[in-house]
Amino acid sequence: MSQSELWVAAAPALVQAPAIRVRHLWHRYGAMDVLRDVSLEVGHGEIFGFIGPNGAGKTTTIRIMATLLDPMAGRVEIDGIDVSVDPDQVRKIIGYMPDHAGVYDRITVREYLEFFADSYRVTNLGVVDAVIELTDLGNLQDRLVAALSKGMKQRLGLARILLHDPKILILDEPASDLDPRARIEIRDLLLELRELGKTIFLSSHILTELSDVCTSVGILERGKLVVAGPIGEIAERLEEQRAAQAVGLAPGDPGAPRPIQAFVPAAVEPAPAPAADGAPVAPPPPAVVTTAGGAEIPAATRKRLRLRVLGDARVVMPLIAGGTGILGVEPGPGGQLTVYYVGNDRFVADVVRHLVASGVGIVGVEPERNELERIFLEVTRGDLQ
Amino acid sequence: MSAQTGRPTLADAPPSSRRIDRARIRVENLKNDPNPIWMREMRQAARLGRTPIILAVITGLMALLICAVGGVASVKAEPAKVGVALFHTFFSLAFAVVTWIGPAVAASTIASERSGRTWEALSLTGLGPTTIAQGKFLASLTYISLYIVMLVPVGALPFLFGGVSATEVLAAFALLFCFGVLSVAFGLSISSQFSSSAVAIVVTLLVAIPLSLMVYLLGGVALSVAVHDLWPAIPKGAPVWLPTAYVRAELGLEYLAFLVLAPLVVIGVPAWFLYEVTVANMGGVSDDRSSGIRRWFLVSAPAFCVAAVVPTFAVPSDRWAATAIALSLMFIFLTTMAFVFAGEPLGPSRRVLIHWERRGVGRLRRYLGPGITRAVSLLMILGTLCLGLQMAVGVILELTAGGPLAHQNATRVVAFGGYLVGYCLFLAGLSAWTRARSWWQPCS
Ligand SMILES: Nc1ncnc2c1ncn2[C@@H]1O[C@H](COP(=O)(O)OP(=O)(O)OP(=O)(O)O)[C@@H](O)[C@H]1O
Ligand SMILES: [Mg+2]
Repeated sequence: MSQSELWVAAAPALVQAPAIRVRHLWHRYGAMDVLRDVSLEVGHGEIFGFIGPNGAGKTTTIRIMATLLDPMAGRVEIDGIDVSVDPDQVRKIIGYMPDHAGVYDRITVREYLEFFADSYRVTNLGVVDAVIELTDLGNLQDRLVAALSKGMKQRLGLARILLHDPKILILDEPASDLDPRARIEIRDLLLELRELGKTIFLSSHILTELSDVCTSVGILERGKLVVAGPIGEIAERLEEQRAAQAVGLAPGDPGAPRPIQAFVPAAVEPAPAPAADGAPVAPPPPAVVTTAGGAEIPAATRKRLRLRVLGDARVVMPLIAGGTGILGVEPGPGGQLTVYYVGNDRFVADVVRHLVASGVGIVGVEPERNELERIFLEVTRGDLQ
Repeated sequence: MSAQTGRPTLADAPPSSRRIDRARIRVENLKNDPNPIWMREMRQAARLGRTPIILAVITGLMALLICAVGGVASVKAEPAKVGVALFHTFFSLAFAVVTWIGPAVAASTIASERSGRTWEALSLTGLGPTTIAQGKFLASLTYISLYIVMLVPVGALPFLFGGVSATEVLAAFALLFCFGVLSVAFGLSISSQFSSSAVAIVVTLLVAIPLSLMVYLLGGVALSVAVHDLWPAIPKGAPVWLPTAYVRAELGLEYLAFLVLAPLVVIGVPAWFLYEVTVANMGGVSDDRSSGIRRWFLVSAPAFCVAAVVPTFAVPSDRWAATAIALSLMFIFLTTMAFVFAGEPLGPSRRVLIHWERRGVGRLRRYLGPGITRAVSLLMILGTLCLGLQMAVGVILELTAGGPLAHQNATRVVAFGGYLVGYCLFLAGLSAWTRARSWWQPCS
């Protein structure tokens, strides 16, 4: 190792380093390359969703970030600190929750947290109470840890990693094995933690659990990072790429859009509006849609709303078709109505109010589902790699 | 502070304050802010329903056994003899309890963190291998001390018959505690190697039981014969001779050498080694896991060399044999170390290099750091020096004593010693060569 390299490793960061920076990370188990040249960056204050099918290498990447595994090649920096050089420093600023952690027998929730508070050398006696309150473990605090359900253990795990007030939380499948209610609770907790200024890196193979909390995502497939960035931006670039392919430009040709690649801006993106889950995968919309007035609207800003009304949907169509912001209305069976629009949640509320005022009985409103699932299916199909 | 004790930590006293004040604060903080792992393990153990039952059963069995032996023996023999017989029976059994249960208890502690998937959370708290090792050690030692304390009333029985003094009984209990320390350290070092507590316990017992029997037979029964020659007040063939020796041997240089220094070395040196092994096993692959063991080797090799050669002065009749034994013991020690060092990494990791650079670590500390060539060269140099010293002592003793066989014996010492040095160098070289060629990397 040269002197200059040593100096660089020891030098304080002059500009604020991103919360997490992974550069050309490789890892191998036996003869199998588990991670192949993974590079990504996560800015401060982001919630980054790390998605990939089983065996993609998510846990391996996360364990390297959490200083539990040494990278074979490449560099991982947490808040500017190299994990393979100063693991002790990194451990102070991260909270890592493994996917399947164990707990100790014969101690209560409170004692468990007290033990970890002592182990982290936390100097404030009130921390355990504060964390119990934040994670809503108050009425469980005298229960034996080993007797908790999975969801409760998950919450306890989250409480544990908050004790030393880390800047960066690294969660491996925080919502796996949770029932919908527990999943929503964890999701709310994550949003609350983000409000407190934490950067959150979480992995998942369940797409829907992430879509509405993540500011950015990275998709890993067979050890390669297929795409990374804010969800909206990825969707937009996918559209561009598809449009380019449609006119016969191969990715890499002059004039073709930049191929989808690992790229996450360090700037904090605002969290997208919450959306409910459960709707089926939308067919890929056209690259550009045209409003009734003839203005072109990029597909990425076009949204979709599903309504269910009493009676025949066709009767309701004229009430909203052609309105400002409405791009199109499609009737479906059983009183279903798909509305394409541009606008925010307020717009949706206005549409619903307008229909109710017109005497339409509304049975259900399903705002647009996130595009994450579609992106995932598309980029992991292999045709964009 | 400690959330577990609910007491705040006192701030360190300013350096200008009196030494006694600083010491007081440190002691106070030991009480207020004890090792968190120790605290937790104690809490868990206190809730384990079977602990008191096991304790009661062992104590009950022991009491029954001692009463039975006492009853049978007192039919014929006089009370003092019965007392001595009971003393030996009790402490032999207690030795077995401590050296078998101690390692087994300790063996599960670190391995169970790994198999129970709590190890990662623990290591990420930044406690560090030393604190974890200390906490686990204290917890296991507390547990085994409980056994010893429970046995105290039974152990005091022989004292009632006479034939043994209260001091002997106390000394025997103190020794039992020392064996407890060693047993626990041994169990921990094995535990730190495994990720399944069941495997760790089985391996520990497989090693601990023969080892404790060997220590009992060689260090107890066999050594008592030699000790009887030196101090006739100590009965021949009595396994628990050391406590008696403390009371009955005449004070003098030999007392100091054989009853104070030798036991200290015999307990301290292996305990230190086991501690370093435990800590090294808990570190990561890129951590410096070598310096501790190397430092131990640097100190213990000369100590072992001297300890092995000292008895040659005390055996005027058969010097050549005593020297050969000393050389052989040293050789066994060096061979073992060659195997220990064969697991060294090829060189220091990037992490270790950067930390050395930052702290401006000196030449010697770097030499004691990770690296197979460093380890093997130290083994070669120190091994040759130690064997050479023993050879020199042997030759000088032979030549100064004179006699018809002096020259022949001196030649024998040189030939045997020279052979051992050569073999030792070969082994060290071989282990370096195989290590450098192997694909195998030690895993964390
Ligand atoms: N200790 C190990 N030894 C050998 N192979 C391993 C080890 N750990 C993981 N692997 C392999 O590495 C690959 C990536 O594993 P990893 O656990 O990182 O995947 P993952 O994305 O977290 O999957 P999942 O969604 O199932 O948790 C898998 O093929 C796995 O079999
Ligand atoms: Mg995983």
